[in-house]
Amino acid sequence: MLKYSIKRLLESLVTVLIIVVAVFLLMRLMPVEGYFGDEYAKLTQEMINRKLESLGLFDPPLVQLGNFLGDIFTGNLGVSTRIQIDVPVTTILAQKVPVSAAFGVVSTFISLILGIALGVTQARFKGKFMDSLGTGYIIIINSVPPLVYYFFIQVFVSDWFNLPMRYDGDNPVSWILPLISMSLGSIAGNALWVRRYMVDELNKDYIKLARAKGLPYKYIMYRHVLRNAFVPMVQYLPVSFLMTIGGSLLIEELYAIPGMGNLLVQAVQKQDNNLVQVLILIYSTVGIIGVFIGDLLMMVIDPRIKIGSKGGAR
Amino acid sequence: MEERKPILSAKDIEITFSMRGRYLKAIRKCSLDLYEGETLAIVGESGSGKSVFTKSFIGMLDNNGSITGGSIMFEGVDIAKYTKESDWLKIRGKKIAMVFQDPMTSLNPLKTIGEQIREVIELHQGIKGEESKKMAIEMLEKVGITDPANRYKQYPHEFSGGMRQRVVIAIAAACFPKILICDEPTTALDVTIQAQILDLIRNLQKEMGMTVIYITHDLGVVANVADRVAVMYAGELVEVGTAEDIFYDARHPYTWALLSSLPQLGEKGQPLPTIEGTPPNLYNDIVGDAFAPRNKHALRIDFIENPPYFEVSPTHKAKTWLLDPRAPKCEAPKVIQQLRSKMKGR
Amino acid sequence: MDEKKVQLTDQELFSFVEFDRRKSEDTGYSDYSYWRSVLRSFAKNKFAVTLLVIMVLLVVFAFFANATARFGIEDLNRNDKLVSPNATFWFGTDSIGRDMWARTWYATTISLEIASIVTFVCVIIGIVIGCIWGYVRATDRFFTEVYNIIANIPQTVYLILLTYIMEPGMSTLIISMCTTSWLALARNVRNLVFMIRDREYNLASRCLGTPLYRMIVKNLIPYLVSVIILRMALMIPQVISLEVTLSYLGLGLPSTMPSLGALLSQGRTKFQDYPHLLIFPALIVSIITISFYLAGNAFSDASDPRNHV
Repeated sequence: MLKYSIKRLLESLVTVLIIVVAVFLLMRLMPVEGYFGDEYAKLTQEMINRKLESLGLFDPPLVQLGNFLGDIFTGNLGVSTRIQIDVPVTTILAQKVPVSAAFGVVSTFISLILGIALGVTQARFKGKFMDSLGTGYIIIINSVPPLVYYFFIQVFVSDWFNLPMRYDGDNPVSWILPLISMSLGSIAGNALWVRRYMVDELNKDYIKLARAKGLPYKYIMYRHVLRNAFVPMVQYLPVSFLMTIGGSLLIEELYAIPGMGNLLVQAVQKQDNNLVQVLILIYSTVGIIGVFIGDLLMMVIDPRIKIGSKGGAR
Repeated sequence: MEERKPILSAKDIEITFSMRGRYLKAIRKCSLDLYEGETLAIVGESGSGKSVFTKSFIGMLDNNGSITGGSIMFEGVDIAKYTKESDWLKIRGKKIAMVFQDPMTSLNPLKTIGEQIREVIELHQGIKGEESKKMAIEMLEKVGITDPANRYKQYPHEFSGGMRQRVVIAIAAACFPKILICDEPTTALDVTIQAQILDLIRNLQKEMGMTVIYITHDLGVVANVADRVAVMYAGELVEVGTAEDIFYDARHPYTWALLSSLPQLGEKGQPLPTIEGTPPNLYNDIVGDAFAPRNKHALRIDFIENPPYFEVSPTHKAKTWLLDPRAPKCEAPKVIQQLRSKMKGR
Repeated sequence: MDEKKVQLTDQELFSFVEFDRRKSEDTGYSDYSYWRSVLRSFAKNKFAVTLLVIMVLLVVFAFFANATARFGIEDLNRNDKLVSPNATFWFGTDSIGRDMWARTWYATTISLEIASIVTFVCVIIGIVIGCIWGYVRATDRFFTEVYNIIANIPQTVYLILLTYIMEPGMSTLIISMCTTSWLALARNVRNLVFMIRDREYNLASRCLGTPLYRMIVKNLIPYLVSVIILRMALMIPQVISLEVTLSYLGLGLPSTMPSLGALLSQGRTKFQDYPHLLIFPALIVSIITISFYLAGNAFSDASDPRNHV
């Protein structure tokens, strides 16, 4: 088991390394304006070159890559050039991450609870009214572009319940609509998966035996089916929790929430090269870390995997 | 045997499945008495309805299937009239238990063996805590699992196929059911293990006084364990009798055909006999005897009217026009007549 | 049948019949044809058929309306700014007096074009890569690694990066969406191929010397059809949604080329006073995406052989 964990850890590190290199290479394709503030237009070519040289951009590619990796390793993520000029990226992140994460974590909890509840209800009453109702909800959420129903919520629902249309850090009432918007999609996602896994489990032979044992339907549903259906879900929990620090691009933009998603959009619009680079790195590595933790969790929770590495499991 | 009272008595059972607006009659007027303490084998090819028939005894038909006629008397109650799940829960697992074909998939992979046995004991006998654990371990020991206290804590994937089937049997037997239905209990197992499992079931039956129904298409198993045999074809019981009756005095042409396809009866160098043709499509209305088109001894009337049961002896009945007094004399095929000597000779 | 019986004497009734091999077989067979059953199952789903008809009509109408619109998409009607829908401007006009009818249908065609190009390309890439990935064991490691890297980055973030690096425009949008959207399909195809490849019947076919193309066409493709169709149907709403998101974030098409996403984000600012700016694009995009999604699901159900009676 330890061996497997270490192996998975190394694999994840390699993946992260590949991503870092890929981002590094892509960033070299960027226009150089992104390394300067608003004064770029007034600078002479010579001044530009001097600045670029001081940034190390004229070094041989491999040296640049080495420096880049070294900087990341020591936690030196550079400074913002356009959004908050010369402010270290880490300082900016320290302001933004907590906002996004707070929203994300709360919304993840809401959507876990409601999503699982909906999925279980649908599976229990498969083919009945509740199931169709849930399916209708899932279909609408999955097919209509989120922006459409985000608009709808922001414009109409705020009007009906007299809720604020903008985020205000000091006014918790203004957090309600963004939270609802954020949760709608993942409630649908969770419900869909819970229902599908549960229906899959329900068709398995061991359920037949469990029924033949005379166990009540409800008991089978919760103690056998849901328990087993939950196992594959567990693998994705860490990813969805970690991803919350990234925030939601659309919702943060819509409600003017000063979080990570908003930061990324601004950084891209204003072409703040260094900030974009760091943000992309964060977004991509968080996923890998999440998957790694998910795999470890699975190993703890599913007894078959321990033997799986020896190849005897089914 | 004649005077024994039936523990379960099915009369004219009809089971219908609906598939997207079409109706499939899986069981057509089957009557069967099950006597206390006996071992009954139901034989027939795949799709003949033998599983469906017995599943109806514990209310485990698939959702689109239902008993549409007849009665099943068990302990003075007509359980065919049960519609509520809560009614069935009083019988299922507690009084009538079932063992399924594939032990590899019959156990919940994420629960320990112990938990899965304990569940039944706690539910049906109301015994909780350490006591039920002790009982579960005893059960494991009873079905021949060595080191049961340790095995109790293990997961299904740590058991071999034969061991898992023992566990499944332990689960089924944990509540001392009156009737144990074994749905092809050895089909998925190695031949070497089959005999062990059959022995185990036989011993448990003796010890606990259970009545056992085997569902199988393996006539070898039947010869080994059965007191009585019921032969099923296309949702009908075509011949019912003691094992002796069926093996050595079969009257129905389908039984003849089944018996002659026993590999033991094959001649060296000759292709093994098979039953030509395919079973009928049960979506269609069947006119006359369902077996008629494949029957090498078919009479014209077989295509027109379904035969009734003809009694050969008090224990033996068969559903074929050949037993009608008006029918021409028809001898069973030679191989079948030689069955006794052939079987003995092996 | 009673009549028939009356006509026959007992002796005739109880006479042996010659065994007929043909008769012994035909009761068990049905005249099953895969594609006919697919169509029949689909046609039975009235709701899905209705949606399909609506979808087709809407798509055809979008192109028709776009071609016959009375105003160009950039025509400025200086005296008619922010007009509510009326006889001249059926969907009203926007803040600088452009006809929303023309712009909406033009945007619809643009969005549909993008969605169908991306879907088409991705389906092809997805099937080819999925088949190789599933069939050739040696490539499994490599593709799985690629998949893990791309799949764990939020797709919008990835698209933002690509549109950031490349010039904004339709081809950028299409290329960047093509580079990510095939993943899910490829993964799906791979899992199926992986599963089916070693099924006993394929092993048997291989042992009997069936050529590879025949095995792929006869044994593999029918299994994949339902998944591929489902993925295709889901991809179109997905691509439209992505385009809407990107356009809203200002990373989509240039302003001379209004897409549904661009219309939605333009409409938003004045929505409360002029609801027509948002409602028509929102309605059309919702109808298109929902009907694609549902019709696709229904067709995928219909094409699953397990659902054929």
